[in-house]
Formats: sequence, C-alpha cells, structure tokens
Amino acid sequence: MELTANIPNLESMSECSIKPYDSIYLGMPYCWEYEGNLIAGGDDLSSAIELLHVMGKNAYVSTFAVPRNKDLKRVFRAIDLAAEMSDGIEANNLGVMRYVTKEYPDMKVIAGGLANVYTASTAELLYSIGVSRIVPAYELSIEDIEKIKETGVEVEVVVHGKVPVGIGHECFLKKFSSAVGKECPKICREDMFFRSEDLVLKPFGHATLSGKDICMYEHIDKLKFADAFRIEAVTERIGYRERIGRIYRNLIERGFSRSDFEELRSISENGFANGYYFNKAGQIYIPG
Amino acid sequence: MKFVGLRGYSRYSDKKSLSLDEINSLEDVAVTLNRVRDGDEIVEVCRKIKHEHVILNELYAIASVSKSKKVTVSVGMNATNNLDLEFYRELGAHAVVIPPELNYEVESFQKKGLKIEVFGRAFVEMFYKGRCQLSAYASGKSVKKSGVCNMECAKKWDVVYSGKKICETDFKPELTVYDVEADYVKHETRQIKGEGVIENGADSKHSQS
Repeated sequence: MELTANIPNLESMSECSIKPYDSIYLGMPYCWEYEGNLIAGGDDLSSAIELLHVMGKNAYVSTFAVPRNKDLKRVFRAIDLAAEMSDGIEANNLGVMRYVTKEYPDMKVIAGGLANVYTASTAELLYSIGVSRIVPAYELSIEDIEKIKETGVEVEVVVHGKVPVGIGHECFLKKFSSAVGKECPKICREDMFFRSEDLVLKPFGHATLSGKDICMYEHIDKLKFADAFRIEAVTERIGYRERIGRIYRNLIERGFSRSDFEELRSISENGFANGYYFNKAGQIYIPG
Repeated sequence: MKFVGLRGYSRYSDKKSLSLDEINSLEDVAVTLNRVRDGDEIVEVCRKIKHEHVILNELYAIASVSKSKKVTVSVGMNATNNLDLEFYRELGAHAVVIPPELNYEVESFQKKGLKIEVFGRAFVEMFYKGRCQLSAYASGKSVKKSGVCNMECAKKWDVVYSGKKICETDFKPELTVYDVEADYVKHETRQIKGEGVIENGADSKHSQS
C-alpha cells in the first residue's frame, strides 16, 4: 500500500514530515498566491523533486485545480518541469489531464479528487486515454469506488484530512482581510473557519474544505482494495503531516493501536467525519 | 431553443422536469441530463429521446452520444479554459457551457468549430456550478447524484478567527444578469418560481424570496 501526502512549499518539507510516506504530491492546487507555492514558478519545484528522490520517495506534481486561460502558461511551466524530473502529474482539470496524456504519454497521470470522476464509465474513458490513477470524487461511497477500481485503473483514496466540499471563482479568506488585519498571502496561514450550527468549513484559496478531518483509521480494512492511501495535508500546519503520517504508517505495518487513534483525536481541532464512504452525510462519523 | 429536464436525470428538483413521454411529445427542445449517472445508462436513455440535442454531464456519455446527437457539455463539467474545449472537441461535443463567472473573459476561448454557450442570466453560487458538494457534506443530499440541494450556502455563517467569532456572512446565490455574446446565450429560469426565488430554497427562511 502506497501512503501519500501533499506538501505546498519547500518550507514545509522537513525530513520528519516526509519520512512516513512513499510518495509526495508537490504544490498547492487551490491558490497560486500561497507563499512559496511549488507549482507557481521558480526553482523550488526542482529542488523539492531532487530532495524527495534523495530520500527514496516518489515525487508527484500537482497542478492548479481551476485553471483559466490566463493561468495556462504557468500550468505548462510546471508540467514541463514535472515531465522531465518527477514520477507523476496530478490534474484536477480535465483539459490539463488530456494535455498531459497527449504530450507526455509515458508520464504517470493522476486524476485528482476534484476532477469529478463519479462513474466507472468516466474512469474507463480516462484510463483509455492514459490516466493511470484516479482519486474518485470525494462524494462517492466505498461501493462506487470499488466499481471504479474494477475498470483496472489504480485508485487512491483519502483516509485522513480535510477534503474540499467545493471550489469556486474566488478566495473567501480575502473578504475578511480587514477584519483579521492580514492580507493575502499571510491570511491563509491563520486559523479561520466558517461555522453554522454543527457545520464547520475551512476556507482556503479557491477551495473550501471540510472543517472536520475525514478519518478512516477505524475502517481502514474496508479500503484495502485501493492502491494508495492519501493523507490530505496541503493546508495543514507544520507537524500535522508528520504525526498523521506516522500513525497511518503504523496502522499499515502493525495494525490498529488505541493510543494512536487517541492521538489522532487530539490532533483534530473540529472532530472526525467519515466523508461520504458510507453513503451518509459527509460530516457524520461512524465509530468502528 | 428551450431546455427541458428529464425527470430522474436532471440537476435540480424533479418537480419541474418532464417524463420521457412528455418530452417526446414536444417539438424543438434540447433535453438536459446533467445528473451523475453511469455513462451506459445515459446513452441508453438518449437513444429513447427523439430530439437531436442533449446536455450531458458525464464524460463517457458525451463521447458516445456525440456520434448520433448534438451534445452540449453541461456547465457542471466546469470547462474553464481552452484545454477543456479541446478535449470536448476531441470527444465530439457540439457545444460547451462556460461558467457564468468567466463571462467577462469569454473572448479568450478559442472555439475552433465548437459552439460556446454562456449564461445571460444565472444564479452565481458559492462554488462553480458542478463543483459543490456542500449539501452532500452537510445533509447527505447530493446535487450531483440526486439533483437535490439543501442550500446550506444560504445559511448565516459565523466567521471564526483564532477561536473567536469576528463577523457573520452568507453565500446566497445571486441572480446576475450579464451583457455577453456567444453562440448560445442561456437564461437560467428552470429553478425559479418567482423573481429571485430558487425553488429548492423557497420554503426556507434563508431563501432570497
């Protein structure tokens, strides 16, 4: 089982935070302006890929999730470098995905969770044009994901972390710059949530994430058919990636540990949810 | 041209969508099947539709149905750039709907034989149309899968910074009218009961009515 996580910038790439993982997705797909964003240009991306390779890890490069025409030059720059140096390219935009499979047919192409892959028939079509791995739409149940896996494509599932509940045209954080006294890009380093009754959301760039951490620690056996487990950590504070990764690495290699599970609970500021895996509302948590 | 939703397959409520028989009794309409269903099922249903123009939201169905009908790629597919257009052209699509948020840059889209459809009047929502799972996250009601939206976006939200509430906000869909040119200009009316009312939220104290 391949354990993966995502890292937005070089600053977040400590050896400890990478160690538990087999593969790392590089770059912040929700916002170009994020400080040090590895996919926004500059030399950091090649340094990050080299660092991962020295550590014996796979380096996958994420691409911006909602690219408009004005963004394509920057997208192409990251793809060109990724095709030369990395082990795979993740795309959440179908046009970008098709561009990579055409221009770089030998590249491992991963359809991200925001690519809206809901059906086995869509998965089959993408597989036929060169997409080798799919992170199914977050909204799918385990049964739906198993059908996608049956097409032959590799499947990667989120086992822990905050998943997007939507992506849009604007960054909601910027609306509150004056109230907080922080401008972009500093404001997304701050701890901000939207709350309405029991519902919590985390705004971040163009995406808005589940405020709760999706946690499948207690149900991991139900996802063992997948090829990779992802820890969604691209928006998280330093330390989160390392601790969660270590706990899931232990889970994969040694099995369930009550103390590890309690540590997971202590890290999650808004509690757990199972996401959509059990065909329930995404914010509900069903204990194992 | 009028767009009509096929009951069971159309995004938004089934209340105003039509049965297959009703749709086939009409003349000169395009049929919307933009709810997520497996591609084979959509292809089969499209075979039974007498009209030559459908609006689809599933990649395999777009490719397959395009061989026999005019297929418009639904706004739910969220085409945001020329690479998206190239892909849909490759799949054989007739037209692609551009999100209303991108109306002001519609001239940057290179058509190359593909038709462009825009919204002249639309509800601009919290997220791009087709990229929202908030209702499913909150209540299990999925717009993409079952066509039902619980309108969580229209709630009052506390904005909490460093553990303290600093203000309130909401993300009510806003009815927006655009002065925009394209091959097709669509006026979103399907889910509107009265001016400014979204049907799904009409009974809610948080609706725009």
